[in-house]
Amino acid sequence: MAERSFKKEVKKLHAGAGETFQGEGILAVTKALLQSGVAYVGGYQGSPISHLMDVLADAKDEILDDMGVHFETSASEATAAAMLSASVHYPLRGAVTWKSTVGTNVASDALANLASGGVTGGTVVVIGEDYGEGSSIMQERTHAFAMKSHIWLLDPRPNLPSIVDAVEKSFELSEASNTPVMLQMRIRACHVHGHFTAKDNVKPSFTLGDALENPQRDLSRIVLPPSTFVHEKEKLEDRLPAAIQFIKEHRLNEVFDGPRKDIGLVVQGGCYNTTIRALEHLGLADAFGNSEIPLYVLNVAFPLVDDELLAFAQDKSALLLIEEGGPEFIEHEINSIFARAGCTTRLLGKSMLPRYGEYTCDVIKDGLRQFLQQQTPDLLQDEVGIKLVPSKPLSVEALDQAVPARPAGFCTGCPERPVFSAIKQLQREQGDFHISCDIGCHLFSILPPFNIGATTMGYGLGGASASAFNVPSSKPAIAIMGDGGFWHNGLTSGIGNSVFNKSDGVNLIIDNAYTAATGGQDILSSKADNPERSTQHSIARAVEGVGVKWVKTLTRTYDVKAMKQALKEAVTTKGVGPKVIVAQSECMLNRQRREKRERRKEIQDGQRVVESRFAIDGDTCTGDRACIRLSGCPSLTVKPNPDPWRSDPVTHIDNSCVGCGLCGENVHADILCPSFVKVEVVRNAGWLERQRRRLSQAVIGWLQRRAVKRQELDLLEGVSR
Amino acid sequence: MSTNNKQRINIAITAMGGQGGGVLADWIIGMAEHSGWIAQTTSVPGVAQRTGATIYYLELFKPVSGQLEAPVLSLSPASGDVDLVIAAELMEAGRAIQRGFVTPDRTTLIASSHRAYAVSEKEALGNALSDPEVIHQAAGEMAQRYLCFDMAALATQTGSVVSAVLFGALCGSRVLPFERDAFEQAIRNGGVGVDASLRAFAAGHDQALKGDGCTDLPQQAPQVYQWIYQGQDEGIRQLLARVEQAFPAELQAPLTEGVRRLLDHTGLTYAELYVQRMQQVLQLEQANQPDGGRLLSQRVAARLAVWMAYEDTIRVAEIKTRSRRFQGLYQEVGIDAQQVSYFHEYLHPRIDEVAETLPAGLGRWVLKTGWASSLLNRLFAGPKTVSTQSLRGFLPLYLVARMRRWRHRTLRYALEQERIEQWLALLTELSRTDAPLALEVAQLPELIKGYGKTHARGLRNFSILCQAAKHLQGQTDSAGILLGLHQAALQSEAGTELAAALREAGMDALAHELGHPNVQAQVVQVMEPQAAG
Repeated sequence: MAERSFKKEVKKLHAGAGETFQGEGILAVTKALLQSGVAYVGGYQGSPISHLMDVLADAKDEILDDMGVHFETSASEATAAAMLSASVHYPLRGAVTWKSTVGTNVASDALANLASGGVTGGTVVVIGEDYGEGSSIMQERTHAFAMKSHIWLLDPRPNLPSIVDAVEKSFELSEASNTPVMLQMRIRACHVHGHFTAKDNVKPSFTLGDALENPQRDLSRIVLPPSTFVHEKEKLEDRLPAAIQFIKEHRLNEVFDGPRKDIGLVVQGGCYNTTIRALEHLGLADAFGNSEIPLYVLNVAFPLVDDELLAFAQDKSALLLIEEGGPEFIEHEINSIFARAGCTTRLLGKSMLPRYGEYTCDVIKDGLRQFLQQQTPDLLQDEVGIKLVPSKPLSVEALDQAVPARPAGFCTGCPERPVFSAIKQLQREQGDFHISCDIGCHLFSILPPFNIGATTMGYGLGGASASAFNVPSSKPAIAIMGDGGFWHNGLTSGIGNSVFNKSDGVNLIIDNAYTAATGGQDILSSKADNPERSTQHSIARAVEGVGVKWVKTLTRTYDVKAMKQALKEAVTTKGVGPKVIVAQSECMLNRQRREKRERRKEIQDGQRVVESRFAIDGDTCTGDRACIRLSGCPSLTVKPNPDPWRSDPVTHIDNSCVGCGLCGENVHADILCPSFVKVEVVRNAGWLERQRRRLSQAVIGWLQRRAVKRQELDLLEGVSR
Repeated sequence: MSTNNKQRINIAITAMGGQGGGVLADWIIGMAEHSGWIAQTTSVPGVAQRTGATIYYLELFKPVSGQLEAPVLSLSPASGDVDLVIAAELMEAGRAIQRGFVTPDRTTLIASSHRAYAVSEKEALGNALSDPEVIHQAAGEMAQRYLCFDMAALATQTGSVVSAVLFGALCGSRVLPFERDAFEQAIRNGGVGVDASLRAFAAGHDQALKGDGCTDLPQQAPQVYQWIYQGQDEGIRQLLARVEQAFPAELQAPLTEGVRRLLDHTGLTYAELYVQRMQQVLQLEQANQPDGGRLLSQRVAARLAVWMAYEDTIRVAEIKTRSRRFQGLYQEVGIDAQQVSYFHEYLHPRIDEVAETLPAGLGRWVLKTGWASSLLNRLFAGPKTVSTQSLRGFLPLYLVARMRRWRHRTLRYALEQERIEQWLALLTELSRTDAPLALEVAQLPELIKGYGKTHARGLRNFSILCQAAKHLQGQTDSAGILLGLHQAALQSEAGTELAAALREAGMDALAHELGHPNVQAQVVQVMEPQAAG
């Protein structure tokens, strides 16, 4: 049921040795997993790696089954990380994926245990590093997790051959050092379209079935005292040297030499392309990456290789380190390495480059310029490349006022919108409530025009983050969760916790039939039949199962009045423990995609089909737009007032309207203006219906003509120029 | 441009979710790869997939023969290093300029001039629409070439989406070194909606050939009315003759338009009342200001006509049942009268509106009398969905519409005339004592709009500002202060800003009257995504 089907792309995964593979970065990773003989794959969806999960889900019949690869959509990142325990005792290659750092936070317990005991088979976590422009989460680095648990972190150059190679080498590195490996993919690298030369897919030599038939256990790999103390020593004395040995032998880090021997750049692999472009702008590199200044590229961000660094630094007076994000872990560590070795080369990093934010070309260029001006006064004399953007003329400054911000919002016809219309109306009657939000599409209610919700503490933690407000009050706290967050952990952390602590709070669970925000992946309560998964498990029954006594399920969120009524009851009912409202309606984006196709076919087959959309009477709309402040639907928009005697824009519904009905419901629930009309167009109407229509049209037409004649309406139409 | 760049074309596409920016990027990539170029694209969709703005970034590299090295392509646009910016909406073109992607020495900017309004523009109480001229001006100055026209309209005409028109415009602009065949082949290879896309492509291509700059047909909002009565009614002809005779040239057009509106709203007697009121206003202005452009009369002519043509249940019923309105709806959804369709009108009259449709005395009695109110409430008020294409829905509304003959007896009529007279009296007083303030008071009825609660809120603000005007009379810059209050009233429904402005102007009592318990000013900051430039 995912938003996008990858059936076509999945066929590319069959590519054999020597064939050119063209596609997205994330698809290349999937192919690389198959080329590495992976035995099992799991993960939890989230931008920017949702597509990786979708591709694998669509690849099951096409290729995974034949290859003997087991794929699971894990219940959470913690589940996915714990899944890797299959590689602890067995020579099974396993890979999982999630959005980081949020997913890594969730997985950290399992990851720490996995890293402590170590692994036998290669284990790789493909990290979608959601950092920088377009990120939807708090800005942190996965690097910290890698360091604290001793998990090796690969950060390959963002081109498909390098990424694919890094996946394959990750498994080998993991096995050579008995340590799990994280492969970091930045957002743009996940979505980059490029090509690489494929290899044959490899079936796993040892399978999960083999393991189940012949179970094994190695006490020294189990995290339990006294082994845990041994693990700590082993990490530093055995696994780290083994990893460094492997990194050096296989040249995972790369040196690109250049004629200027007195200075050098140390670059995270993921920042390589941008750095080369910045050098090109400064006239110091060509389009193929041939640089005047030598570069040492850290495709392995952790651990660092002392010898390689010291060798690169030799004879150089200064190095510039390009390390994105903070804190500057790599800078600290290189400084330690240099200090320990007595190396006098100066390392400059965050003193030249910003301490935070994405390292775009402009940012790196500024840092490089400053570094070169300080360290090599001769080199920038022939700066050619890009002409600087002329200083802002007035016309560009005027844009600051004119160009409006475009915060994300609910899609056209979204079934979550009416829930927030209802809350807004309730708050107008009863005053504001404290509302805890969660992660998911419903988060957009925080933004205009709803302005609802105070905090978001993490996925599935909407209920938990209202738990302190479990005190007597006339107004209980309201917690919102999505169905995705609910199954991820909200059932226990939110609902179970409220039952146990006898909370009187209100929990609103938005159930749109799958995890809509990440692209429509199925979960336990999905409405659809999924031959591969067990779905249709009721959220209401689940909360009753953990002891909730007051549960209301609304099966049509568009009924604003009923929604408002249910909320009103929930906030006024006392002494029954937590109250849960399950608001159900399918994600309109996916529903439309499916129904449009069905409808087209039905019309072709001559069946009666009713298509509906809303419209607005321009003549009765006075341009107050109270309706928009209750909706924010993209199709409910404005246009300049056709009447020059009225300056305010009038409301207008554009062609993208899907006729969800919310506009009408809001008119009724909030007593808005009489301008809204739902137009239903009947395709393939039957004989009787057509006759009835003709009759009423005849009478209506006669009456209308009579009114025109009597009131000379035709003579009174406005004319203007 | 450095020697390196000659082999490379850098392209940024800025689009919003659902505009087909990804498809456009795929077409360009497909076309380039098919022609033997090395092509890379990437994007940062993130949450932008839900109505936010997304930038797709492409680099096309032409390998020279015998070249074995692979180029290092960048994954994000750098300021000053973009050859082509394609904006699927006008404000996104502005954003691209803001971010430094458009530079005079090399960037071609191709943009659709249509607007997808942002929430901040849509939700405002007053007019917050951004001025497109600001974008055109900046684009004209910053882009080497600027091509702009309404591609959404062409997309609708050709039954396709804006991305196909943009692709056509790109071809027509001749910026890329590929022939038209290659463009069209890329669309065919895409395989989805090929025919419609090709039609839209051709339309975009042809329009792009018409030249650079914004090539939309100039759309000027009507400024002056010029209605001429062509009927035979003697009363109307006499009234219009009176207007011609009694008013100066600059008032002819507005007065005639006012007369037209009131004839349409109620009839001749009501239109006569309008002209009579306007004669008084004119005399007043002439007496107090013998010279001048009759600014007060002009303003009042418009505001008075709009107010007198107020929207009561009769008016709404009439608009809803008119044949012209039926035709308009058919046109809007793209059907004709022959096709079976239903109009479901969402109405929610309150007891107030019901009672106001009754004769004044009876209406007042109903509103005072509990049992009568609740009876009428049950019978006529409340949420209704009326189908005006069926006789059962049409006839009751048609009958209500016919009540316009007795409109002058209704309670609503009495209430509105009372308020109008009060306003005119205030204008009379102020134009003697504080003419600039009178000019601002003349604009105040703009605040009254909408229905139900919205109407009540507008009326409340109007009445408070009228009282404020009395208070301000004769003070230094009284007009400026009142204008400030008027603007504050348009800041939010809750009236927080208006209350603050009233307090600042020393009118605490009025701020108190506005009263809004439990409502705190909400500070909502919408942050822009971090800029890559």
